[in-house]
Amino acid sequence: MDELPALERASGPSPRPLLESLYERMLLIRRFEERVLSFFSEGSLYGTTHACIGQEAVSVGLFSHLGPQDVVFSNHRCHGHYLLHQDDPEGLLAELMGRATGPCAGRGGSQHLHRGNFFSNGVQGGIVPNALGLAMAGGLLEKPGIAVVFLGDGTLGEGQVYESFNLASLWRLPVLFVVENNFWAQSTSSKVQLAGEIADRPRAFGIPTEVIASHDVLLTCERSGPVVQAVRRGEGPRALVFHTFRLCSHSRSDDARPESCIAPWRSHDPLLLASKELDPAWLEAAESRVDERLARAEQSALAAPFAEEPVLPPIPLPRSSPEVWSGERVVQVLNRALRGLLEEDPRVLLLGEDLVDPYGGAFKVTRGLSGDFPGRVLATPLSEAALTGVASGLALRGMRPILEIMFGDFLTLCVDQLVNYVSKFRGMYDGRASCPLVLRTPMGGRRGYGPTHSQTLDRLLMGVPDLRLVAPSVLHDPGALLREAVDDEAPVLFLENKLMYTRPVRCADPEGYLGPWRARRTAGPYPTVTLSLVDFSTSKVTLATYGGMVEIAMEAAETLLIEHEVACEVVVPSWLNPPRFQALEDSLSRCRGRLVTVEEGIGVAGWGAEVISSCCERGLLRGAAGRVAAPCAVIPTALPLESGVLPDSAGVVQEVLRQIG
Amino acid sequence: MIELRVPREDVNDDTATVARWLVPAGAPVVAGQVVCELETTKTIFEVCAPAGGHLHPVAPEKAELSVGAVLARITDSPEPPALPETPIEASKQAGEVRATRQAQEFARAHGIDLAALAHRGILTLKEVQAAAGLRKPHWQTPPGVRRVLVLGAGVAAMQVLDILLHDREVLPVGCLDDDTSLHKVSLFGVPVLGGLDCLEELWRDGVFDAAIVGIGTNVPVRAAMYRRLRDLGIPLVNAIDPSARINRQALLGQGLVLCAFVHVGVAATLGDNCFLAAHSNIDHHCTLGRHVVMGPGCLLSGTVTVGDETLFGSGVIVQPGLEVGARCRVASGSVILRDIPAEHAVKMRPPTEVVMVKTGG
Ligand SMILES: Cc1ncc(C[n+]2csc(CCOP(=O)(O)OP(=O)(O)O)c2C)c(N)n1
Ligand SMILES: [Mg+2]
Repeated sequence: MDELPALERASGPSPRPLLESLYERMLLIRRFEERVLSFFSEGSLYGTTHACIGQEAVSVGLFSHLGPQDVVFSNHRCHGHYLLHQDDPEGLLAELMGRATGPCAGRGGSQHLHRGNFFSNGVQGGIVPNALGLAMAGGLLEKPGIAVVFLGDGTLGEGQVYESFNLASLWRLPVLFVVENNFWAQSTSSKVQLAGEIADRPRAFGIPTEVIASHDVLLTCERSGPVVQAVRRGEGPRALVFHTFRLCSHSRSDDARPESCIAPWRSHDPLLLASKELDPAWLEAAESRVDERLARAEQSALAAPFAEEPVLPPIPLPRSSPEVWSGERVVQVLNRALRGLLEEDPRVLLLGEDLVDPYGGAFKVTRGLSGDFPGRVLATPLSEAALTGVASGLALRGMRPILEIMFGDFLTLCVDQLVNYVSKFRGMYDGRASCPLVLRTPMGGRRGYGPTHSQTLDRLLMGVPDLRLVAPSVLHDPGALLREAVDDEAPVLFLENKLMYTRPVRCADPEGYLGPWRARRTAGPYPTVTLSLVDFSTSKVTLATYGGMVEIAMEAAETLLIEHEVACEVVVPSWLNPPRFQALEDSLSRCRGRLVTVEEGIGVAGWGAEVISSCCERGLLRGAAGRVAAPCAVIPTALPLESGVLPDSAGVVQEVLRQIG
Repeated sequence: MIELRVPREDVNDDTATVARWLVPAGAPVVAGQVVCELETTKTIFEVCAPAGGHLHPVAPEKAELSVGAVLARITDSPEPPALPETPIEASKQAGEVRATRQAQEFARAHGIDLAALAHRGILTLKEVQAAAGLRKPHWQTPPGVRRVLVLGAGVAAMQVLDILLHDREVLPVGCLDDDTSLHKVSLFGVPVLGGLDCLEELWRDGVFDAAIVGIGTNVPVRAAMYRRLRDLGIPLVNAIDPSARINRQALLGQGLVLCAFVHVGVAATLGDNCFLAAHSNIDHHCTLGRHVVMGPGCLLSGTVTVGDETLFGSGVIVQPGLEVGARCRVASGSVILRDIPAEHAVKMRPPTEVVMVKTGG
């Protein structure tokens, strides 16, 4: 038999009514989880679940100090937390059964719940910065309540947890970190997963941390109260580490732990401990109350329909923002737009590394803003992953955060949040939440910054549901695009380009000319600009491009016309994914289906590949199409080598000539 | 004379804007004196004179200059240096007419003033040719005269044009050919208007009323062009040399090219789009399929049948009543004494023996 850790019991006589109410809540969770597990063993439920049998005393004790105004972010093992916060076994059962009457209409299921101020997500780690964002938004929007986030001992292996400890402590956020240490992560003992002491972790960041080792619900209740109150009083973040134990398998039926380590805990079953203090008649009555409620919940869930549409309707487009042509450089236009947004919209907040003055951001986009908007332009630690999580939490709760990632290359650190959090919330919460953050970042090479500061990684995030990829160019008003992105209910990845910052924005005159180019633009937000050096309808090839490649494509089009008498249209969308077809279709019909795509990033499975295959599917192409992109290679630092891998206008000319034979 | 150039202030900026000149033009300066303030996206910074002398700014205030561009010159004299050097950007400035290389060459060759045609964009060959009267529906044709476009601008097309130009009922208005080296030329005064991809556009613009294929021995291309014209609903004309002798009972298809001295005998039938070079004889009751091409001097005896897309070299002789299948290629000088099944190439071995049989006396 394994030895138990030292467990505490409340001293003195137990206050009966309190114990009864705590017990009945534990009982509801216990019977709920048991029912769910038996459905699974009968084969009448689809998917999986993570029950919290044995751990009830932790959450029931803690939740007696929390109310609906408090925001809770939970993890995979979230049923108990949900039931306590939302008192909604009916909804939860319907959700597990996949029914339209569940809080997320069966889209989220067991691990992805949202109702009121309750959220959960089944990926470990990232919910911690999300909770920070929620807490921060609560403060900024002057909402009552604190944020509570649950994490298991195994989740202490995730980096975002520590980035979040640091941020929460630095910014004194009203967050309570609750570690439910059940000594196991799935099938692995914490002995082989965790070095050092758990409580030392938050403490290292200056977060006062209390350890509660007990399955006595009166004790967990008593001891967690003052900690919650401290956070409520605005004393900054706190951590609570509970020692507890899971008496069921990790998920449906996958317990690999030896019985010898489970057995000693059976006598510390929190329900057993509490029931010893309670009157058997009362206990019986409580059983039947719980049973009745769950039986009713089961009936109504079974009678409920499934949601009709597997896919939610697309997020509506933002309002179109008028374009303003000042002839300024892109960096100035962006700076002015950010200033305007900060002035007009109290929900706007800028976050990122080195944003504040006098530095003003690595590319000077935020220069002059921190002084004029104190507290709303935040220079952050180097924590891209958690910052994306924080921004996402802010957005979930009604803020309009604009996060700057210093180099697009570092987007890799944000991908967890972008893919499994930011872009998931709406879909998995049945459209009942939105995450309207804007993540700005500069991509691109030609500055000699070498392999890790020159990439164009846009394609890594193509085709992420709900995530919009917007790329300004010198032909768009980047300020108008940024306003549209901020107004957008969808999360927007705003892909800037390093070389573009110093380029002036080029606008067409009232006659539709831009230098020698005739220009057209689509109406509405995120417009597409089409340029032609000859009358529209006399061009031979459509060059589709975006962002920093626009001027290269334009240069190529000039060469093609002047030297080779080949007229091209240059089609420049500002919204990259999914491709929009209006302008492209028009251009291709004029150019008789001859298409060459031009992008700076690697071509394999890239933007051009997507555009070409989509056009092909729609029958818009005449035959072969051309693709100009970087080869699948590391970008070297030295100038001649770098130039050798990044696509240039000569490459575009060559490809067009090859296409037209 | 010393040049003062725009220094690189930071890695992010390839340009800088002249914020302020601190000394008037021509004023004396000493080495190390701050003479100018430049602004980048990041900062405003000062530029010092590298040597003493008189300062002559090249760039005005507010001008945006590339890193390395000349900002000012320092000379020994308060008079501005006599250097008419213009900034690089100026070459693209107002007044300059931009035209494609071919447009410029065409204009030079035809003495056309590009400035008179200039618009805000880049002048193309098409536009210059149009201005020169070579393009677009400017041809005034008398009633009943059809404007004909010839596909191809090679030697076969020249033969076609030669015939059409003698025909009062048609006016060849242009040729199309994908060989761009032919685009500048005109054939007997008929311009080559561009590549075959212009076909739809010219048809849409009503530049011609009918067309004919001016391709000779490349039979698949000849057939493909015919199909393209058909698909577009473009009428085909026949080009028949006035010297050809065609029996009144003969049945003729469309898009035919019958060169000088062709003879089509009694009740012979020619399918669409055949090309028969000079002196070919298609004797009585012969039947030719579509896209049959014959070199000069072929001699088909009576009641010969030839399938679609078959090509004869010159001087081929076919005995009466034989059948040559579709898509055959018959070498020059062949004498066909038996039926040839479809899709065969036919070549004669050189005669080795002269067989003589006494027939009289
Ligand atoms: C990022 C991530 N890695 C792995 C998993 C798979 N997984 C789900 S729960 C779990 C164990 C979590 O252990 P712990 O944090 O101690 O929570 P407990 O299950 O014990 O409540 C694992 C590995 C996951 N969901 N997310
Ligand atoms: Mg655990």
